[in-house]
Amino acid sequence: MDKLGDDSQGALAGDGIAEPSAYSRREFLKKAAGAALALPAAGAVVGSAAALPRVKVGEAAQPYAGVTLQFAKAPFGTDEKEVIAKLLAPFEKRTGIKVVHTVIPWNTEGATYATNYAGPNPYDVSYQTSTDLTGLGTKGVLEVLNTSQWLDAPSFASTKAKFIPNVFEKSTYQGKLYGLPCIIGGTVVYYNKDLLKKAGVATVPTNTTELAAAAVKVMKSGGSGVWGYQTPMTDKDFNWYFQYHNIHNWGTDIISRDGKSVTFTSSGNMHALQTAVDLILKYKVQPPVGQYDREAGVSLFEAGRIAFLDDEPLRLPVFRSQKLPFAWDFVAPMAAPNGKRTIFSTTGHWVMASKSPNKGAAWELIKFLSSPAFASPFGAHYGWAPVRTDVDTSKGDPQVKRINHYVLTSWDGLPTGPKMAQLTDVYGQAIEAAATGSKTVKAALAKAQVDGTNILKS
Amino acid sequence: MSAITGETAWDELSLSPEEYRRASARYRQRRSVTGYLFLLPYFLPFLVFLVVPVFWSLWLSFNQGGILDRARFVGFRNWQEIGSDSQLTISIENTAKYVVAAIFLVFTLALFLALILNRYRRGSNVFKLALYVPLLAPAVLVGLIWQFVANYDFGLINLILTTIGVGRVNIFGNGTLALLTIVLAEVWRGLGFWTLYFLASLQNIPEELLDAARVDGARGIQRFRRVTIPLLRPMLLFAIVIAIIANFQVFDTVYVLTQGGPYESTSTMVWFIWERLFQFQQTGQGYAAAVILLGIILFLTALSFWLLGSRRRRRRSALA
Repeated sequence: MDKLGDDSQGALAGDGIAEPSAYSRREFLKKAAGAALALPAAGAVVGSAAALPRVKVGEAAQPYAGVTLQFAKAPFGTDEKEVIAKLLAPFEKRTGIKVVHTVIPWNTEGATYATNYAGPNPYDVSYQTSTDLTGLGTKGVLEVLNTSQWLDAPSFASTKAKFIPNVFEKSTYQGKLYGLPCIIGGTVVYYNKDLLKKAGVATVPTNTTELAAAAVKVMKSGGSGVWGYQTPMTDKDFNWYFQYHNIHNWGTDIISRDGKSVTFTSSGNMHALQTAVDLILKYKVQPPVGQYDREAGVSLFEAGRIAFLDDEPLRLPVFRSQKLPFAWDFVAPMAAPNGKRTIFSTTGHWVMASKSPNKGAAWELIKFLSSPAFASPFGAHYGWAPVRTDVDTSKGDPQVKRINHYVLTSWDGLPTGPKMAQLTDVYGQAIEAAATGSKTVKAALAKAQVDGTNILKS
Repeated sequence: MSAITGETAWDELSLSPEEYRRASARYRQRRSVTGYLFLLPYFLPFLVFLVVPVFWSLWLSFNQGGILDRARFVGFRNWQEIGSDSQLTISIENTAKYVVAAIFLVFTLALFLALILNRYRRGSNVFKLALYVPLLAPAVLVGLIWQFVANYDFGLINLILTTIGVGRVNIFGNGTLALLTIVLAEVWRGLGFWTLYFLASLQNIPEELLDAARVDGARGIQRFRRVTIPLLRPMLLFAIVIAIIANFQVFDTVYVLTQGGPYESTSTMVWFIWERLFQFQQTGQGYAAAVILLGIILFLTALSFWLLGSRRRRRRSALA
């Protein structure tokens, strides 16, 4: 078991960018639909070069002067548009490229990108996660990047060598890479030290068995309205995302290595899901499905009513800025009882539309977005881990450093594939079925196996 | 203008049967063309935005792709795949349950309120306005309002339940209750419209018929059953057709409130179509499901009109 750890409220590295407010995919749809639909203005201008473009550019020469690139991204925070505009300013000044940034809500990104890429003027550069990357790529709407023109160009070789090999491997489908990996993340378990102390839990659990035991103690001592553990459990809140590390910890996946069959009914998957379901139905340390959505769960943690909260690192700056009225910290997600402890997240990629009329300029933008000049402060602001050895998103911040350490030492991502969005949804449905008690774990995963097999056949 | 006088002059102006046929044909043609020109502003958009997409969807249901990539003909494969997809069956069941519950509830309540407003007219405009306001709210907003109404901790429903000693209910964790919440949200939203619709229908019922029934000794409930309901029937059937068409397409409230959960218990047909088309890029399956939805709506509409027509036919034959 780990010790309870440092008080998290002390350390806060300033990055010159305002703290983001509480934010997530759900909340974005609910609270910022108007802002999300609004077409943004262009980025600001001023700054200096940092990425190393193939074309050497002097201050006076702007090789892409007059070029406007349409850029789209689902946001990590309400302030993201301003953050990106600030970071892109030097790039725009140096290259003469005007970047028009459109914010795409998380919950509608599938539909938005489908309709946009079907049209004649798609976003030149956008952000895609490994869930959707290959689905779009295999339709031919995204440029294949691992070619001698782009990623495999001799001039890019030294930069390419700085990427973590694992991210290329996870993001490549049938030899084709449709996006340049830029971000990996994960989930962490935030915990309320005061509640643990009150319950007599001296050390932080490291695996799911210890977690259940600690959460039971908290429930006994915490009083009315206090819960031991919370993680999103509905398909609506992307429950599969928060359970995937369990699957990896049990040494399995939902799809075979060759991508030809689904493996929902593997013994590892049964154990992984049973462990998650037991926290709700057996130990009753987690609120029943539907009682609190993801945001409500986070609010309960902020109110001191949750002992362990499994959520993304992007909550870190929010919790810090709110100065929560109790001592708290975080650890890596719980290991399986056998001790295997991984951290999961999808991979974020910068992609280029195959129909883009300005591919040269788009590649320049992608290179800049991937470079330390952009990726370091951007990752630092939202708590994401880097995918390049020359990118530092911690800026000396011990907590972000710790997250990066978890991610870089134990990250196990989502294998990309054209049907992954549908397969993860099937897994999400299975979690819901089992966690609501509508089906047993075995029956829920058996149905997922049938549905998944049909999906792969289609 | 010179006057036409005498047999000869008249004969000279008369047309031969052949000429008359030609002239009348030209006239009819001119009239038809003019008529069609008047129809054009409606017919053209109808053709472009409704008829063509319907046939295009039907064609794409036999293809793979078609939005992001080129359509590839796959025969009946999409139909076979959605035929064996349990989520579609569940979605049809959920939609049917939702449509029956929503129409029954909203019509019962709307008719009840319309009867009250028809009887007590003083200040009724204020009530009409109050009833109509929810309809002005976008469906997404209605969804958000009901998210708060059904909230576990501070929602209105749970507040009432705890006050009367029943205790809190996890509404969004229970499939039946989650579907019922969507029904209630839509009833709340549509109540004003249907109340005004029934009120207008009630006000069209001749007062003399009700007076005659009163003179004959019919009580209130008898007058309602024997006079009001039979006279409202055509309007009621028309309302049912409209409500079926509208309710089978429920989506926004599902999207905001439950996104098909928990465990597909609120997955409706349009939700299924949306997921297939836009979430999973299974466009052929999405189009096939859309064609099924169209078929169901057409069938139910035709059935309603047939029922309406058969009643008229029976009434006519009885009178004869």
